[in-house]
Amino acid sequence: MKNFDLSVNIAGVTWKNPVTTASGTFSGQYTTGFYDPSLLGAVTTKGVAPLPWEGNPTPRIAETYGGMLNSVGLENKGVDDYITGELRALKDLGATVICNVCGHSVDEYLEVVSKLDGTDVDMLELNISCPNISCGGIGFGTDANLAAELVREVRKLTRKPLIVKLTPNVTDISAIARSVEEAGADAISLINTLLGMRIDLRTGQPVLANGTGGLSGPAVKPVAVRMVYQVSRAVSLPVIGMGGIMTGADALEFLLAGARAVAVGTAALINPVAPIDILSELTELLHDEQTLELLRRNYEH
Amino acid sequence: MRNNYRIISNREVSEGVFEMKVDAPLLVDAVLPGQFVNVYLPREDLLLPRPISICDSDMENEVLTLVYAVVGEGTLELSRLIGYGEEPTVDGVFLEIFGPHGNGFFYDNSYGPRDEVLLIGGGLGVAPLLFAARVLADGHFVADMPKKISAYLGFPAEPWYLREFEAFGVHVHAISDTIPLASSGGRVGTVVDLLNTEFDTRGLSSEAGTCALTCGPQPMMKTVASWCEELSIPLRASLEARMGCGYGACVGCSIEVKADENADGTGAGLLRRKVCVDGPVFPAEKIVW
Ligand SMILES: Cc1cc2nc3c(=O)[nH]c(=O)nc-3n(C[C@H](O)[C@H](O)[C@H](O)COP(=O)(O)OP(=O)(O)OC[C@H]3O[C@@H](n4cnc5c(N)ncnc54)[C@H](O)[C@@H]3O)c2cc1C
Ligand SMILES: Cc1cc2nc3c(=O)[nH]c(=O)nc-3n(C[C@H](O)[C@H](O)[C@H](O)COP(=O)(O)O)c2cc1C
Ligand code: FES
Repeated sequence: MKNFDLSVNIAGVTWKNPVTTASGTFSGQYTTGFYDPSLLGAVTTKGVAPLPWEGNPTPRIAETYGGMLNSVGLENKGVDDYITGELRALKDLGATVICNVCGHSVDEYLEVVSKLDGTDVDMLELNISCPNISCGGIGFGTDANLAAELVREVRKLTRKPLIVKLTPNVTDISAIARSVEEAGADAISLINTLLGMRIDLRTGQPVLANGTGGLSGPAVKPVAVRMVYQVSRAVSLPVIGMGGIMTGADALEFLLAGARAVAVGTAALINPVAPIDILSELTELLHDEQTLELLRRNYEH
Repeated sequence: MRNNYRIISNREVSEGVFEMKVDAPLLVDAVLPGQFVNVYLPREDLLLPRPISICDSDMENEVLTLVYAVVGEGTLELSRLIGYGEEPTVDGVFLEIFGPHGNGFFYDNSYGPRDEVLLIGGGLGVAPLLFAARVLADGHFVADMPKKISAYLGFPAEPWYLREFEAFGVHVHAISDTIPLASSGGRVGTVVDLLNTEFDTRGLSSEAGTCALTCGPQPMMKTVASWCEELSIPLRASLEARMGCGYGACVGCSIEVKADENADGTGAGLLRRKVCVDGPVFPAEKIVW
């Protein structure tokens, strides 16, 4: 197979290929036992907050038809532990690292960002889209004004490339995308999970202890593709597409919809090396002249 | 390790309980008692792997045994797969397995006092104890073999695998919730009922060099834990949790455990641990029941 350049530029950062991991499905400690994280364009780590978060009660995971619900609720060990632990380890392995940032309030986001600004993390991904925490998170992602204000505040604090991760749980995704673009975001990633629920037929109660959870996996892919298509036409920022990518063909579909790169989430929970497998399948597909021509035509738009 | 393994047999050993044997040359040397594997289902809409404990690993014949109960769609699907040993025309039914995962019962290469090991199991929790019995009996993994292995096993209905335990020289005591068994003196009841009589008649205690391993429903293990605590018998318990990945990435299986106390008695708070990688086996005194 001839070697060809798959690299992409996302907000000034060169990724050697257009594949990253979706936040919350990659562990610097455990996933790295299965592959070298520097093989991917970038790796995106789980959401970090200023202080450790407990997360939600269990059960936190439920399977649904072709998908899964999670209500992990951003359990994390806090930004200080992240900087000395997971980030250090991943940078030492030569990975391009995107840190997913979360908070309950503007101040909490700012605290995390100011700490990360002094590190060698490559990019920040503002998670304004987690459906599993009661305040903050998705609260910012469903209101175009709040989202823009948060992005403006963060922008003042850091020159690190800033990706804003959007929630699909809105009526008009393009409006939110435009407002974070105006506020100074460098890239947009989407989609986070769709708010869902599963009821246990024996108990009549929700399966998840939290009641609701975020739906991910192949079941959400058509929604994700549609939103990537809309957003990539609404803004001029690079878009990182995700939601149900299981194969190289799925990844290609997102690229054709307008994404510059893709992230693999649920597939990696099922198979830890899925991002690598998907990258090689995608590479194979991109060797086809006709496919490349389609992509080129899309970029020219 | 994620691989396809040929199914040898898949048979019902008791109502709704199936034993599946697979040819697993790559796995048999790699697994430890109390570890589990992720089992993938052929039906693609059943997205997540099912965590199933390793019931036995026969290194000589390179056969791995899993025992599972049909409780939902995934395990129903599993029960429909046919092994080549049963149907000569079938030669290629494979099961996709990823593992082993977790720490296992002998996570620190030991198991406590060596005079007598009690294996206390309820329902499907009986399964991983068989592999523990094998390893304790053949001295393959634990250099120091216990003098005696006793199993206290509870079943909802017809018991299964009693002979398999006996084959490893285990003293087996079984009881059923519904069927009077000879080995429990014709009584019906639970494992805890069995243990209570045993306590009266044998006077089990830590001084006698006893330790215990348990796996089963949470309420049963909780009672076993307080029983063992009273007698100061060191106990290790295998926990269950809903899992997303089984290898530490999703934080779906997180639980709270008690932290170690500092020498001055401080610091004994709660810590978060992942059942899939930090467990599934925990020392009973660390578990928040
Ligand atoms: C470490 C560990 C070891 C286990 N070992 C065994 C074993 O040796 N034999 C056995 O029969 N069962 C075992 N279980 C339980 C087994 O995983 C579930 O019974 C099985 O996943 C049910 O799948 P299903 O599709 O039939 O049920 P469904 O209810 O249709 O499953 C839906 C989803 O819920 C999950 N789920 C349902 N019940 C459980 C449960 N009790 N624990 C964890 N996840 C569950 C499934 O994995 C699936 O993702 C073990 C569980 C764990 C965590
Ligand atoms: C278990 C789990 C945990 C997640 N945690 C986070 C998180 O911490 N931050 C975040 O922005 N998204 C999180 N997500 C969302 C994913 O990054 C991704 O946006 C979503 O799952 C869609 O992609 P997929 O279908 O490929 O999984 C999580 C998803 C799952 C399944
Ligand atoms: S099941 Fe995913 S971290 Fe334990």
